[in-house]
Amino acid sequence: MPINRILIKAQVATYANVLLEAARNKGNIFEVNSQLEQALHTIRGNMNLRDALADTTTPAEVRANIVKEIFKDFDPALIKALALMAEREFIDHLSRVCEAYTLAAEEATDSIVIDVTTAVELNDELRTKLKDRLSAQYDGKDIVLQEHVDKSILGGIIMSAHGKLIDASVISQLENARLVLSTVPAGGEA
Amino acid sequence: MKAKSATGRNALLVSLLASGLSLAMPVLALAEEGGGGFSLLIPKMGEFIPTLIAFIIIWIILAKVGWPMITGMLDEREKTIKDSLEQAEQAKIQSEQLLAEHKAQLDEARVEAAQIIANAKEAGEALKADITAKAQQESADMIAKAHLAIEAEKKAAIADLQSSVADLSVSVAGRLIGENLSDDEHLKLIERYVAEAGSLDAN
Repeated sequence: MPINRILIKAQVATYANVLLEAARNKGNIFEVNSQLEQALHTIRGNMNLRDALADTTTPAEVRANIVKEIFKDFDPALIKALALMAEREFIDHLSRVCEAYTLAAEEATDSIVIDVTTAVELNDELRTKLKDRLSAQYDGKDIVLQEHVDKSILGGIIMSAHGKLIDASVISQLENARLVLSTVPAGGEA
Repeated sequence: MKAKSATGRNALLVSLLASGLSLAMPVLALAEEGGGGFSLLIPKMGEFIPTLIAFIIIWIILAKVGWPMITGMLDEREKTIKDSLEQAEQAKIQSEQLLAEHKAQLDEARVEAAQIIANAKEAGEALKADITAKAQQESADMIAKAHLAIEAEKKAAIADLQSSVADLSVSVAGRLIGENLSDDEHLKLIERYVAEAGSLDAN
C-alpha cells in the first residue's frame, strides 16, 4: 500500500476515534453519527460549498469559518473536527471518516447502525417492529436507526448498512415497472 | 516406235503421190498429142526414163531433206499437242483435286460454322439464364431487405410507443400515490415492505 494511502488511513482513523471519544464522554455517539452523515450529505449535495471547501486558493481560516457557520447547530466537537478537516484540506475524505466513525461506534456499543429513508416519519410502533426485525437479522445486536425523510421516494422504505442496501421504495418499484413495460415485447400480432 | 512408223507412212504416201504425178505426165502428154487406142496407155521409154530418174532424184531429195524436216515438224507438233494434252490432263486432275479439297474445306467450314452457331446459342442461353437468375436473386434480396427495414421501423415505433406509455403510466401512478396516500397508509406500506424485504445481513 502506498505511503500516502497509509497516512490518509491513519488520519481518517484519528479523526473518527477523536470524535467517538468526545461523543462517548457526552453520551451522544449516534447523534454525532447522524450529524456526521448530515454534514456529508450537505457537502456532497451542494456543488458551490464543495468547491469552496476544496479550493486551496481560499485561505484555510476562511474555509474553517464556512464550516463553522454552516454546521453551527452540530455538536461542538464535530464542528471543531470539520473545521480542522477544512483547514487541512482533508474535507474530501469526510465520507471515509464517516464510515470509520460508524464502524467504531458500532464496535464500541455492540450495535448496528442502519440508515432508514422513508417518505413520512416513522412512528414508535413501526420503529420498534423494524428494530426487532433487523436485530433478528444481526444476531440480536442493538439496532440504531438513522432516519431520513425523503418525499421523493413517494413511499416505502430504503435501508442500508455496511455498504448493503435494500430499496423497497415506491419510486424504485415504479421505475422497475416502467422498465418492464418498456422492454416487454408487444404481443397480439397476427 | 509409233512416231517412226507414222513417219514411214508419210514418206510412202509422198512417194506414191510423186510417182502418180510422174506417171500421169506421159498420159497427159499423149492426150495432148491426140493419139488414140491402147498405145496411149503405154509410156514412151524416151520420156519415161528421164521422168523416172527425175522422180527418183526428187524422191531421194525429199527422203533426205524434206521428209525428215516434215516428219520432225510433225513429230514436234505431235509432241507439243501431246504435252498440251498431258498438261491439260494434269491441270484437270489438279483442278479436280483442288475442287475436292475446296469441297472438303467448305464442308469442314460449314461444320465449324454450325458448331460455332450452336456454341454461341448455348452460351447465349446460359448467359440469359444467368442474368435472369441474378435479377431474380437481386429482386428477392431487395424485397427481403425492404421487409427487414419495415419490420425494424415497426419495432422501433412500437418500442417508442411502449416506452411513452410506460413513462406516462408510471408518472401518473407516482403522482396518484404521492398525492393520495395518507401518513397511516404510508406506514402500513412501509410495514408491508419491511415484512417482504430480504435481510440486510444476507451474503
